[in-house]
This record gives sequence, C-alpha cells and structure tokens, in this order.
Amino acid sequence: MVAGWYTVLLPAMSGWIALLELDGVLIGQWMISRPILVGPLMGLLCGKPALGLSLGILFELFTLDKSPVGSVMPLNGTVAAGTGVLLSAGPDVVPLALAFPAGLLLSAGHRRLESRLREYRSIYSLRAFQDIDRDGRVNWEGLLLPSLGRQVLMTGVFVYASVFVFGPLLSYAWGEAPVFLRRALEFGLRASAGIGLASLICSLGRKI
Amino acid sequence: METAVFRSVFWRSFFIQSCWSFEGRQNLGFLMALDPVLKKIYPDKREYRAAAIRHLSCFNTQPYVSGCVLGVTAGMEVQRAQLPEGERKEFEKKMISMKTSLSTALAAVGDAFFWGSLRPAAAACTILLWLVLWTLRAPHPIFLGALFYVAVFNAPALWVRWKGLLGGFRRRETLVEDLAALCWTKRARMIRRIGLAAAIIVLAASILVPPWGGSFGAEPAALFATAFALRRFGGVTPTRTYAGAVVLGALGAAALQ
Repeated sequence: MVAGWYTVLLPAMSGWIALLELDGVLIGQWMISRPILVGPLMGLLCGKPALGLSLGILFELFTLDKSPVGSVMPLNGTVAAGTGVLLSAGPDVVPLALAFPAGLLLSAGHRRLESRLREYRSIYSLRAFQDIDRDGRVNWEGLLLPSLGRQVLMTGVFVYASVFVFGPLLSYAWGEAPVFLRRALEFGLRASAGIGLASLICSLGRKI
Repeated sequence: METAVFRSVFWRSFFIQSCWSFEGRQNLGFLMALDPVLKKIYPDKREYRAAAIRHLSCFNTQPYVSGCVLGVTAGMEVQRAQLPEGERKEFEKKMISMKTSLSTALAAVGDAFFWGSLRPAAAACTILLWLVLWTLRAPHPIFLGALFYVAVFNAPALWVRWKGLLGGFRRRETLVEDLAALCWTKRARMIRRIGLAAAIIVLAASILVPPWGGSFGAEPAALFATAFALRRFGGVTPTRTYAGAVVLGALGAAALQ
C-alpha cells in the first residue's frame, strides 16, 4: 500500500496538481487552480473529501489576501492545498494541525521556484526575436511547449519531493514533539478559521 | 475580419501569460494572441516582421480585460494597414501609446473587479452554499459547490474577454465610453455586498458550530474579533496572525504545564 502510494498515486497526484497549477499562472485563469477547488478534488481522490474540503477552504481564505498584480507573487494556493491534503491524507497521516502550516510553508518555498522560472522565461522573448529575424514568423509551439512543460515538471517534482520527504518526517516529528508544541499547533488550527474569515470580511468590506 | 480570426484571438488570449517573464511580462502572450490578425493583414513578411517587433515590447494587463486591449490594437493595426505610407509612422506611435494607456487603466479596473471583488465574493458564496448543501444532506455537495464557484467566476470573465475583443475592434479609441457605461465600480460594490452577507452568515455558523473543535461561541468569537482587529486596523496578514496564534498557544500551553 505504502509502496503503491509513493510509486503510483503520489506521482499521479503531483502531476495533477502541477497541471492544475498552470491555470493559476500561465493558462486560462479559469480559477480551477484555486485551493477551494484543489483541496476538495485532492481530498476526493484520496478518499477523504471532508478533509480536502476543510483544508481547501482554509487555504483559500489565507491566499485571498494578495492578488497576482504585476510581478507580485502571492502564496501559491494550489501548491499549499495540494501538499497539505496529500500530507494529511497520505499513509503518513500528518495531523491537520501540522499539515496546514506545512502547506503554507511549502507554498512559500514554491514562490522561489516560480521566481526562477519567471527569470528563465526571459529567454523566450529572445528566441521570438531570432525566429522573426530568421523565418519572418514565430514558432509558437517551440516557445509554448517548453515554457508550459518546464512549469509542470518543476511544480510536479516540487510537490512530489515535498510530500515524499516531509510526509514521514513530519509524522515522526509530531509523535516526538513536546505536548505544548502540539497544543500550540492545534490552537493555531482552531484559530485559522476565524483568521481566514476575518481576512475575507476585511477584503470584502474594503472601499473601492 | 472574419469571426474565425476573432475566435482564434479569443482562444489564444487564454495563453496571454504563458511566457510571462520579469522582462517582457505578457509581451509574447500578447503577440501570440494578436498573431492571427497580423498574419491576415500583413501577408508580406517584411510588414509582418515590423508589426511583430512593434508588439514585442513590454506589456502587462489584467488577463480578463486583455480582450479589450487586443481588440483595440487589432482594430488599429487594420486601420494602419489602410493608411498611406507617409501617415503610418505617426499612427504607430498613437497605437502604441493607446495600447499602453489602455492596458494600465484596464488593469486597475480589472484587478479591483475580478481579483478584489468577484474572487472573494465567489469564495464566500461557495462556502455558504457548501454549508447549506451539507446541512440539507444534498447529494454531491462538493461537486455542486465547485461547479457553482467556477460558473459564478467564469461567466462574467468570459463575457468581458469576448465582448471586450469584439467591442475593442469595432469601437477602437471610443471603447472607453462603452466601458464606462458598464459601471464597474457600482457592480463591484454590489458583488462585494453579496459576498459580505454570505461571509457574515458563514462566520455566524462557524461561531455557533466551530468547524475545527473548541468550545461553543466564546473561543471562536474571541479569535475572530482579534484577527479582525489586527487585519482591519493593523494590516496584519492572515499568515502572520496565524503565526502569532501558534506562538501564543505555545506560551499558554507551556505555562499550563
């Protein structure tokens, strides 16, 4: 069961998360990459829909705060919800109280990767100029496919590696952690619904 | 211009961010979306090349309103192609300036409407819908809620993309008047009010029935009030408030031990 999780299910789900993440960054912006959808979807795939739903809603409320305006890179809600649910619903069963901050931290880690990818993509403008100079036309497939492929691959590997490494590690750490720390994280989880709703109400009540 | 060309531009506009970089931002995506129009009006490679290079300069706007900028630019490119040689240079300057100013102005409107109003309101309404469906024990609550969220957000987003493209092409510089008639701010305010009402109902429910355990009423209400005050008056982000809650929890638990 555990071997099947790491060799089949986890790679497949990491791939799904990476594909969905394209919507938030590169293609469409149909909102299918929002944690409010990714959480329940991953929960359903793992057989724990209620867990996916609650984590998805929490991550949605926490990531609504900032908008991807200009070059601003808010927390990646897709990665947060995806890794959070996989950590909690996987065979290592990381408790929600720990899976939630882990998802937030991993999404912040993914922001660095995203920044590198955006820097790298400058090369495609140069290639477009070269295409126009050489053939008088731009080879769009030659630009799009590597750009999208690289994003999917990097995000997929990031999600897989995160769950693969941190799943057993966090599960072990939770068992060994002092009681006050576990209580603190449980309190943080209880507070998170109120914090998220406060953020939502503030953003909706703001004057425009 | 045939509808097939517009359809192609519309479809390609979904890829406007596909090569987003810090240097050019959406420049490649914009050129890719405009490509069918440029190919149509400039069959000559030399002319096409000049037009493509014109649109490879840095460009950035809100993705949902990109249709308007694409439409106006496509319309102006068609107009330019029909001008005598001597007037083209001057018109190109006007076109680029129009493209830049329109992209900036529309980005501000689009950000406030889509990111700032529709996205949180859609989330609040979806959470409320899930709560209702769960309470009523309706079949497939997750699927219905997800469908609702996608539909509520995408219906106006797709409409603005398509109508903006067509309207921009037909009205060009005068598109601004059409956009002003849409009363974005008024609509955004209405959407926010609906979202706020939904969020307040969800809040009341979460205080009465705390979703992640804890005592009835007092604790979740106190936590919400603190988080609200920090966010509203101190501008503290939810992640920082959460970190503060964990630290507070650790201190409290250590003291109790």
